[in-house]
Amino acid sequence: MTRTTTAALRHELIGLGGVVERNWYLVKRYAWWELTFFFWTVANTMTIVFIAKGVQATGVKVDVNELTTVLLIGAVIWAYLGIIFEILTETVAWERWEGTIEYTFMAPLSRPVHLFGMGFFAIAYGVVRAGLLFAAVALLFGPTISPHSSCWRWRPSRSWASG
Amino acid sequence: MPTSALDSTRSSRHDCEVPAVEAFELRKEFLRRARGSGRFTRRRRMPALKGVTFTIARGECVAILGRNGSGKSTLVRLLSTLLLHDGGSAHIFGHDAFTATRTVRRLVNRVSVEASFFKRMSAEENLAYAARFYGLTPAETRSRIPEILASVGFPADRRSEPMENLSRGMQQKVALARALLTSPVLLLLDEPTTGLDPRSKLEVQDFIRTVRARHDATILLCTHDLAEAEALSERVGILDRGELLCLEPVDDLLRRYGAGTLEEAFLAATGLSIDPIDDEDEDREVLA
Repeated sequence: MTRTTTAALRHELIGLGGVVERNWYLVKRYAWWELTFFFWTVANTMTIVFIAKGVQATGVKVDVNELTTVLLIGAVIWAYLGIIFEILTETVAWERWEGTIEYTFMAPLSRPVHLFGMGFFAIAYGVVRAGLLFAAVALLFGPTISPHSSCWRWRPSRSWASG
Repeated sequence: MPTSALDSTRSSRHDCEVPAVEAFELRKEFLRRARGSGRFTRRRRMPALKGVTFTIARGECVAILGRNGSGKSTLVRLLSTLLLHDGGSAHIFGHDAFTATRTVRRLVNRVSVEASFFKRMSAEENLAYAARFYGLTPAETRSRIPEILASVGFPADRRSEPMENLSRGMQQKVALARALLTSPVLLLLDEPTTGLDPRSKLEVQDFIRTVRARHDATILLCTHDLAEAEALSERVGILDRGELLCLEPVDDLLRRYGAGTLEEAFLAATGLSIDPIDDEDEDREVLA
């Protein structure tokens, strides 16, 4: 690899890191909004998970533990993918709204690197958020690991969660 | 003389000979909605720049005067690779501004009338983010950002405050610091002092002088502040309705229009009647 290529690659990597760094700054600066939207996502996920409890109430015979697990994992993955798509699709809209798009476009950084930077951040942010979301909702429903089951058993001790 | 030394001498001589900016018959048109054309809006082409030709030597400071909508910002956007041209050519230090965009972007930076920052991020964070795009590592910016903010007279205790809490003058100083952080050899200033109070305006002007003296930067200053143009630049151009009417030292300009002041020369060049200006910016289909 020539020195020029190495320098160009280094430059692009620094730029990519800059995009991730900027998003981290924004998460810190909008921390209260982050928390608010996180509660909204928790509530949204819970409404989906509650379906498992509701199905049993209608008289349908299902394995509630399995259905709860499946719905919880599905809702968390949905939230994870939703965040990734939101961050990527709003890459340009966000900068237009802030008024910085011209400065980004006139910088010596390729568009794909800019998008990759957003993508890396979106994946990292999405994983952390999905983990927290899973933990928060799972705690509310109270899972226990059953050696006889392929999925978690959800403790019926919480009356509001057990339907 | 050894070959490498000879090459280096030739190269540096070549760099000195190549003008900082060379625009030839540069044209730009925008699509504009025709007013009152009913349901099916027709569009017509509105020329923003009509074959502008000029050269700026390395290290020179040139001011372009013009009314709102005269094409100043379009010229700056073209030279900073933000817009594609419709004709003619523009070269920055010998590099084509429309094909060698990556190279040109490393050489140029711009300060516009809007400071344009992430409003919730601090001055330090905004500068760090901008610096990364130009290949500056966190280790490099850690000491450089405080230095550069101090040099524009930005108070150290406000470095971590969100930009939205800062006055416009402060924001504009940070915008200048952002442009300087990347050590541009060509600085495009698009009305950098518009809307600033007299004190901030003088501070920014002093800073522009310092930048020129210390960093050997070439400056293209687009403004409608005649006093600022006269105070900062060696040559002054008048851009009117997309046409560059002249570009010469102030004394020559005054002689050409038989005027005593730059204001009189400007009015003589652009027409004395104060007719309503058609502000094209509203309807232009610009990217941002």
